[in-house]
Amino acid sequence: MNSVYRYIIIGLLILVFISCEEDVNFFGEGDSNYVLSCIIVDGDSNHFAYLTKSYEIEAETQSGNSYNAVKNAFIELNEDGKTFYFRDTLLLKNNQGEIDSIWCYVLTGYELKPDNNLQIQCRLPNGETIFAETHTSPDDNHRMSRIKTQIPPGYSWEDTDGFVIEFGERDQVRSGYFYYPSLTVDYTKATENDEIIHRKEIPSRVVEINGSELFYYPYSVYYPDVYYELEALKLGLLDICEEGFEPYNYKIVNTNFAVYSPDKNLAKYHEAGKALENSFNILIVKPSYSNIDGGRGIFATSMKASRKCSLRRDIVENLGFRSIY
Amino acid sequence: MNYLPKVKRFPITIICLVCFSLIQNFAQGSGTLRGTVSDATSGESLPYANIFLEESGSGTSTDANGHFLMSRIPAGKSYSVVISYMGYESKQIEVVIESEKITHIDIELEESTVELGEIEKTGVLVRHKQESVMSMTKITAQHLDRMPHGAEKDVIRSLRYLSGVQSIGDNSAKYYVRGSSSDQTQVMINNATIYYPFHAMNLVGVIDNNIIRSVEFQKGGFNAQHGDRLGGLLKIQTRDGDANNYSLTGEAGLLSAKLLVEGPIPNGSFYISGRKSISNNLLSKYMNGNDVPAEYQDISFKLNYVDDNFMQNARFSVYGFFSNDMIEYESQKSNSYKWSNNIFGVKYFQYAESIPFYSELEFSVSNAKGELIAMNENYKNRFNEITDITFQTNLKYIFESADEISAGFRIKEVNTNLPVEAVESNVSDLSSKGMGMCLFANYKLLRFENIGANLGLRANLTRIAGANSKYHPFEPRFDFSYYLGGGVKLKTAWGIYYQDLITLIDDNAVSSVFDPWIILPSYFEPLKANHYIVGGEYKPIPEFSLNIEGYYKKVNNQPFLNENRTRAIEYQIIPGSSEAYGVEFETNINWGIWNLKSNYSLAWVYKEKDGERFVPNYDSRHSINAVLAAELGDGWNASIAWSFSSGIPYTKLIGYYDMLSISSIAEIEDGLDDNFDKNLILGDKNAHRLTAYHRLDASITKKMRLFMFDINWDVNVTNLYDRKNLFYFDYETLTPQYSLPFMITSNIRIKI
Repeated sequence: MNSVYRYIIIGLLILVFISCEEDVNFFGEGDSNYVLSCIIVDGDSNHFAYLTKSYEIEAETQSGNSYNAVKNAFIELNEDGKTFYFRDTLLLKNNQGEIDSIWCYVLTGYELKPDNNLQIQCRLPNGETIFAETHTSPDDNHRMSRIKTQIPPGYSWEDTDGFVIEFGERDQVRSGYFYYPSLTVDYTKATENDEIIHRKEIPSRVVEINGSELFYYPYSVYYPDVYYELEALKLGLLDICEEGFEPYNYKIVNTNFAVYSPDKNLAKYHEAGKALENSFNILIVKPSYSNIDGGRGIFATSMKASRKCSLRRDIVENLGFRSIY
Repeated sequence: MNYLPKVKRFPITIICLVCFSLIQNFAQGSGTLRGTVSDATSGESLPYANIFLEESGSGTSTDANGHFLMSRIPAGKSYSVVISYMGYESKQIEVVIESEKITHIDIELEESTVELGEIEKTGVLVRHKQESVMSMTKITAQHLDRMPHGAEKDVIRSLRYLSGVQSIGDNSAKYYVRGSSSDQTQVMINNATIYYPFHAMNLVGVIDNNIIRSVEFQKGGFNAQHGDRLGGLLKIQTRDGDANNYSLTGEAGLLSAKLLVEGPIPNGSFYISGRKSISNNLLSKYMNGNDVPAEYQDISFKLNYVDDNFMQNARFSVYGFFSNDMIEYESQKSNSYKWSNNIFGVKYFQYAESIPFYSELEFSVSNAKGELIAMNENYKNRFNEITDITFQTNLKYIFESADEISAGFRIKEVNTNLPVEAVESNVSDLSSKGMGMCLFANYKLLRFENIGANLGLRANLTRIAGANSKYHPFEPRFDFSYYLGGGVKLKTAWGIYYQDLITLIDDNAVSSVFDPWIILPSYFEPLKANHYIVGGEYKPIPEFSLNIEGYYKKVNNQPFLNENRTRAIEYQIIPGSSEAYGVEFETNINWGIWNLKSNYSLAWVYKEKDGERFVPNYDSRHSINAVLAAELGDGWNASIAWSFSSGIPYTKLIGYYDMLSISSIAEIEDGLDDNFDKNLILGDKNAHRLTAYHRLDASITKKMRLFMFDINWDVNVTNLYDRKNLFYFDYETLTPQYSLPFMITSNIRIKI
């Protein structure tokens, strides 16, 4: 029996010896990646491209454009055989009182065309080239004409819980495309000059959780219509008011309904980033999407169609706001 | 297309075999012995008890409900029947077997600490020659009590000590059977499916051990009665409750407190049991010290009614199981979660007086709801619900030749609800409903002393996921065993399995709060698996057994989340495939007061998606488990368990890059939102392996009676030599996350 105990003790000692954690190297080695980020938006006068470089885990390099920006590259946009050149520049931006310097490449005077092929090419300082292409979404401006200018639309809207803004027929859905609708109001503050216009997006839904109200804004929709809760509209308007200021300190001057139509690459890039927050799972890797050949990042476009509307006066005034109408 | 004629021929072959067998089934000059085995004190049925006829040298064992039947016993003689059960006094009774008659005996055994004797184990050996049940482990409540169990006795956590069962660490009770995904193993309580079988972020199983009578766990090759899943089957039968005395059992540990009330009712018995979490301190040890504000509770009950005046030889049972979980963080940065199971069932069982015929009808409703409650505007509420209404019947007839035929039908209506607002609020609703109707039949060949076979066919009349042109209605199943002599038996099994219900699981996830269930969308071809199993058993003496099984499992149309989906016309899930193969060795040695159960698994698992073949994060090449238990006498039991598994895969971090952050498409204007997020650059998926996992646990249990109290006290040591087992590497914080450290826990159970 003694020998049994001896073997047990020896066995336990071996187990204690091997209980220490062996080294596991979680970090691998790989080549540097160049990251090009360029999203061209319909209607903008300036289009920006950002070029940065990936960085290693153990390097002291920090994240952020000012640390990792790549200068002296040549970026060009090709459309229907025409070439447009970006120029590199340093932007100074006021970020909550602090001036951020952002190195980027700017293209001015270019107008995005719907349903069109675009290529971007970037010649790097080391002589290599990275490349991407995309196809813009079809034009949606003709859809705007069917939108009722009064918000909420219709006659008996007061008896309903919400309203629908239609910007197309359901049976005329474009196969595969979807839209990001956005209803915004422009307003001025009594404490500021009337020329300073502020913009606020109206939520489509409001949910009360633990005594606080959560606003939900319209997400991507497949059919060309979007539903807004009347309560969300009212609470969204009241959310304009800063602490200590009543609604009469604000004047509603404009209402806009816009539909953004991202191209396939932008939609994938955006959705990949959202995947993390919609999962029941605990993920360790944040999904990402890249369409840059030879590097990482995104080259994409977004078309925009919009229409000016008017918010019903009685809603605005009943809430205590001043109205220009 | 060549496959179709073969499938059509298969049922015809089975019908011919059954007809041939029926002709052979009539035997003269023999009788049948039938009965039940139960606990003398409580009247509780004893599953898998051994029955042995000394004179004929034949034997059998009771089923999960404590019933047994032996046919083809030479008539006109008196026999000594020896009945034995682990932890109970053996009993020997005399019976006279009459020609072409059924002799019925109800046996009650007294609880004891006496070990099994030689003669009792012989019954198991005799049965071993004929029975051909592949890849099955049967566990009784007594066995569960004696296994090392850590902080909480948990049948699902105990499964990891079995060969072919892989987990990814202590921080999750999720398990993977022979390379199958976690949703491919069905968890059942009294034939009703439990859809969310875990409490507290998968740390604890929902079934309290105190309500369990028996457990059957099958890793593959299951017969035609069971469908719905491709991988494995965990079938839990709950107790009936004490039919003779009222009793109250309370138990407290570091995780939860439990209460069980049971007793007789007119012509029957009942139990009602409840469990509630009492502290989160221990849970945080599972999660590397991170706070897990989890609360859970479950309630279970069963009522049994037996009245020969009302209906002879019949038993009615009504059961229910309800569990609730909530995780609520104080900070509004983290979402809250709620999920629940609600199960209700009615069962009727009857056997015929004069012929060996059994009938069983069961109706059950199983509902599971899960909810993510968004605590800030960056998230959206999410909701999943599944409701399963099942009616099934199973009829069994045992021939004079000992062969068994069973057949039945099942109607299952399933309703799932999973709105996926995140992608396209109007159309991405994965909610669905469907009704599956099927007939099933098994013919069990037991007439030959050395040959056992089971031919089965499952015919799906309708499918839960609806019609699909590439769907065959038949699921043939077959297993066969041949006893060579000298304790050596060879066995093999093959079967086709379909699955219509799946969970949406992200391959990149290390853990999940709960997995949402959906019915396979109609555009998806049926999820189908082929099982091929071969093996052998060597049981030369009752004290030793060796079981070897090799398997190959191919799953077609394995669903994967479509990570690149952005358009309504693109599918939510896309098909891939998976393949698993391996070999398992299991030994069981009884040596005096000692019992050693050990196993070794060598396994490979691969998944393929979009043409990319990779190993899933639970693939472990080598696994060893050894459980040594000892009955020390005077109510003392001790056990130690050692588990080893070679490292599971992980993906290396190569570097970072700054990724343009877009909070809203609508905000991209006037110069572009120039916020950047740090994002990861990863190496090849799961191309490297973590260090091996190994852990030694020990437990000691003392049973005693003090005045009117039956006390069961145990102390458990988890990770005795404090091995730092890696769970995963957190790329955000650049810190490794570990499995359970060394810890000591204790439970006390008091029964009045």
